[in-house]
Amino acid sequence: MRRQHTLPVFIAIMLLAACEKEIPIDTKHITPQVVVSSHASAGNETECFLSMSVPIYGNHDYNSQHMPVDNASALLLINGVPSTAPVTHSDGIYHLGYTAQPGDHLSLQIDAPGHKTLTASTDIPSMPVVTNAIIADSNTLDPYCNYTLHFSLTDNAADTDYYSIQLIQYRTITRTYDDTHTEVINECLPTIFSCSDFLIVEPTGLDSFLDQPSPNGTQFSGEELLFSDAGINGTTHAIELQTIIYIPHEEGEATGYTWIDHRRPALTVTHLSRDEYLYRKSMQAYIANPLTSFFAEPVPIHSNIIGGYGIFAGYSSYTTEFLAQ
Amino acid sequence: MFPVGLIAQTISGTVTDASTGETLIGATILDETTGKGTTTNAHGHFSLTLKGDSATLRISYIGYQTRHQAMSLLGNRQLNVALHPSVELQEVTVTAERIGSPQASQMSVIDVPVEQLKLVPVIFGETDVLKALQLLPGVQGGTEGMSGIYVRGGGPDENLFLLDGVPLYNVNHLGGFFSAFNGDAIKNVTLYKGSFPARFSGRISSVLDITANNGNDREWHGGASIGVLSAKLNVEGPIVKEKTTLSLSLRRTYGDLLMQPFIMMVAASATEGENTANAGYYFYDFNAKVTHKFNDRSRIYATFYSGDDRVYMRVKTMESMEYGTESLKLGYYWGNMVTAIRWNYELSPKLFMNATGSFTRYRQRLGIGLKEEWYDSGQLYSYSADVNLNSGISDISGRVDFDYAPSPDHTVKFGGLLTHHIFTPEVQTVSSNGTDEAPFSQRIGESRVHAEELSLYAEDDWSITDAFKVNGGLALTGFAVQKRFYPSVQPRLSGRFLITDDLSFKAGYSYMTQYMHLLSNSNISLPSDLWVPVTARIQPMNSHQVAAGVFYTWRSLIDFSVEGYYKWMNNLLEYKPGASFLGSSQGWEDKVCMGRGWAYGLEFLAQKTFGAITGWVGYTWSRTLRQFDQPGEELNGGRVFPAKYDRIHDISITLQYKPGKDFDAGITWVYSTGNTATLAMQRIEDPDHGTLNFVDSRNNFRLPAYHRMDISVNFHKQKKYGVRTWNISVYNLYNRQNPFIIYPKTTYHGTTQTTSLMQRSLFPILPSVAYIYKF
Repeated sequence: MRRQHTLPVFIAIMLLAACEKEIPIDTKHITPQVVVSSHASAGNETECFLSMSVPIYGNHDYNSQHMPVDNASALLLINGVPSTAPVTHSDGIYHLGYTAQPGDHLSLQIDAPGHKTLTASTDIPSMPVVTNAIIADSNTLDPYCNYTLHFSLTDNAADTDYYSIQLIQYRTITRTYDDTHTEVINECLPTIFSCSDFLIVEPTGLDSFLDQPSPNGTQFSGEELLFSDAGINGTTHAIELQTIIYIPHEEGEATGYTWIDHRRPALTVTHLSRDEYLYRKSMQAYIANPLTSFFAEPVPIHSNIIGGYGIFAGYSSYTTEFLAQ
Repeated sequence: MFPVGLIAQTISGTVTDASTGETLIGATILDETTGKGTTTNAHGHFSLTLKGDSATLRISYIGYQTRHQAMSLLGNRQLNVALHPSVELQEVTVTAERIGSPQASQMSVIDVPVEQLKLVPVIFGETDVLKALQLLPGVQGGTEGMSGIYVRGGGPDENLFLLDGVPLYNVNHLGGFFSAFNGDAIKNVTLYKGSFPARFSGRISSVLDITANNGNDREWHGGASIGVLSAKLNVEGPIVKEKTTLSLSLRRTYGDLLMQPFIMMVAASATEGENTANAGYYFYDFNAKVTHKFNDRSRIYATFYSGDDRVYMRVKTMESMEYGTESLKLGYYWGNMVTAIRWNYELSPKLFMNATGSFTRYRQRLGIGLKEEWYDSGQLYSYSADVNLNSGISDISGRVDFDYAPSPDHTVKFGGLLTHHIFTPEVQTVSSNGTDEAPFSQRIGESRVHAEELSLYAEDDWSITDAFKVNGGLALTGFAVQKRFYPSVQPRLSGRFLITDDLSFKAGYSYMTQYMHLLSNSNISLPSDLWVPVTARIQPMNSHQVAAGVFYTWRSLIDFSVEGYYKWMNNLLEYKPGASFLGSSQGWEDKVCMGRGWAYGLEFLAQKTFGAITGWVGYTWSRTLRQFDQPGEELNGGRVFPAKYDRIHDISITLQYKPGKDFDAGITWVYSTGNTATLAMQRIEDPDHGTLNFVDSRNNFRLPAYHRMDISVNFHKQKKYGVRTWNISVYNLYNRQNPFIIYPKTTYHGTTQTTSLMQRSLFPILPSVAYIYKF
């Protein structure tokens, strides 16, 4: 009787225990890497931030995570010529002493003790050619207004170009304290807009607010529209954006001070290097889905650093403030 | 007037099993005088044109006694041959153009006898054709235990599954753990991995051509079996002896029937009899085939297949008479239905026709219904609401195929296929009705998409010399959808150079186009997977494949082959980072991007198909890569990355031992490089976005290698009315913990966190037993 029961019990235990068993997989070969974060924009000094990656698997102390790298040497090459500008650094931020210009080809070389040399290169694209930027208030419900924005973008036919469109609001708050002194606060607020131009909209495929499929294509809705020139190559293309912007111009009085809140909508069109475009695309997908859904495709973050992780990519931005019609 | 011997005469007819009347596919008919020969087609028919006064034919088939037939060639001759199963297997001589042999001009094709496939040990003792095919070189399974196949770097939706010539869209049961093909209903299985004959089109990676049993035309036979998961019943026999036959097979899982009383009892006891509940899951297959032989030149076949998976739940809450009752019903079912009528007719000794009309349907339906009834002031009130979700694909097809043997050196096949596809990507209906409410009904979702697919083909198996033979063909296909037409011209060519009678060199090229995609982004086969057609944005997939190999038969006992292949694939789909299809196909075109892929590899096979010990040893070295680098369609930064099922090494050893009638046994061992997965291995600090889980590239992690061993033994005993068999099998004999899913697990100790990468295995050692009775 006892033997008769032993076999099914043994089989049941084997079935359940084996299905539930969790087995560690050896991940010891994953070592910390130097991470470069550098976005070189035309007209601004080129900087890079160096830090150490932290392997996800294994034992880690919160206090020692993501240490900035302060003992590295950074060398910038401009069109193949090493920069002679002095490099200063603090807290992992390396000021490379060079203001990037459109048309530059920049190379970055990082030597950090204990790691092989990291290299990366990028082009600084030409300034985007934006013309005829106007904004029209189509439905005034102050202070919230439906706005239609128009502008033209001229694309170079020679290469594959990548662009970013952003709408921002410059906000200036001026506080005057008892007529004795004035404080000015400037902010830059990203603004959600939509675009139904199927020649430039690249659907992201994310289950978020970004894409709205329609019978004719996909309407973009978000804070940054990233696209290649595949649909507009070599043309001057008229682009229309829709947005709802809260644009008060208010004055008021509070205890001890008076204030003025002034906002101005602005358009930023950025000509991106391919690596900058791929990085921004990957970040857009990452933010929408940071590796948490079992059924969603994981999101690799674009990296172009040889010998390490991170990004070294260039761009040129053109920003214009709109004058409402 | 010409002398008789100078005029070619044609011998045509059918080769059948002498004991059952089943037609034999791929039987060899060889004229020993001239060395000219042919094989029977998918309907058991052959046509052989010879010159001379007489011929001495040798008719052979694996597992059957070879028959010699001398005949004069005074005119065209009709020859119907019935072969007897071989008692002494060693007596069998394998010659001429058996599929996969050195003599055949076709390469990259595997023909494994169904009886041998049935001996392959599989999970829960269920005979499974697809899982057995996973053991062959160039064919890989997906995730542990799944019956999906990945052929030479292709995806699971790139395989054309044909049941009696009719496509099946969903070949899985129970999420893919079992295939839809009931081994008892199958007569023949042929898998084409490359060098596709022109008569096949519509998928870019493989064609699995399955022929169902016709049924015994002499006497009634049948069988029943019961295993751990399912029970099966099959009968076959003559409705009119040697004229009309019937074959029926039924398989159903029965776990839900056993569980029902317990579920009802638990629901009732937990609520003191107020509630009733019932729930369960089952799948079934039903195969039926009627064959009628009008005469030696004309036969008609009617095939029916239906297979569904069904999940159901019913809950009824009985409250007081004052408050009334509330009931909830949920039903979820998905599956295929196939009907086909085929007519074979020998128009002349040289010209054979097969005409097919068919309907195939795959659909899934989710229904949820709520009904409430209550009393108020003595009056009965009610409210009901229903939600239904439907999706699927239906095909109505007409097809005609001709086999034409104009001379001993040519076997020509030509024909055409016209299919009307009806895609139902996703349709929801919501309705409600109540005593105090107006009826409400709304339909949500995309309407049906209609498409036409046309295929015309011609191919010739041409013996240029005794040693050199080619099979060349052309398929012209087109797909019309949403006012667009996608044409495709697909050349096919394969050739054989016979170095000796036992040794040959073969090479082939084929171009294939596929006009539909399967949307799925899980590792397992889910009923929510949806078939969608190509559109104005999503272009048809296509592949170019070249292959070459050496084939050798050792003493007519063991076939050896070494094949190399290289495949280019275009317009492949991958899901965009972060995209998910679960539960919805809305905007699916936005969630995928198109790119290209490569697959290349070497396949080694040694196969012994008869004798007391049979089986095969296979090894595949292969790589499968992808690149998506078009602007706006970049994946992995436009860099090349390995496909999910890029397995570099794949080994399988399958042996069966059948010393006599009372006992047989099988053993299988498989090993393959682990799948790839996309994992964040490090965290990085981004000044603008904070801490990120960093994935450096797609499919950047290689899972541990997969291996396991299975065994199976059968004990047969002759009983008064038939043969009883006990089948005992053990899956994963040494309890290998193969990864099914992997995931990170983090524990915290003060300021320290420890994260481990864990794997969960699905199937440990699984013994099973089945009882089979055949009469």
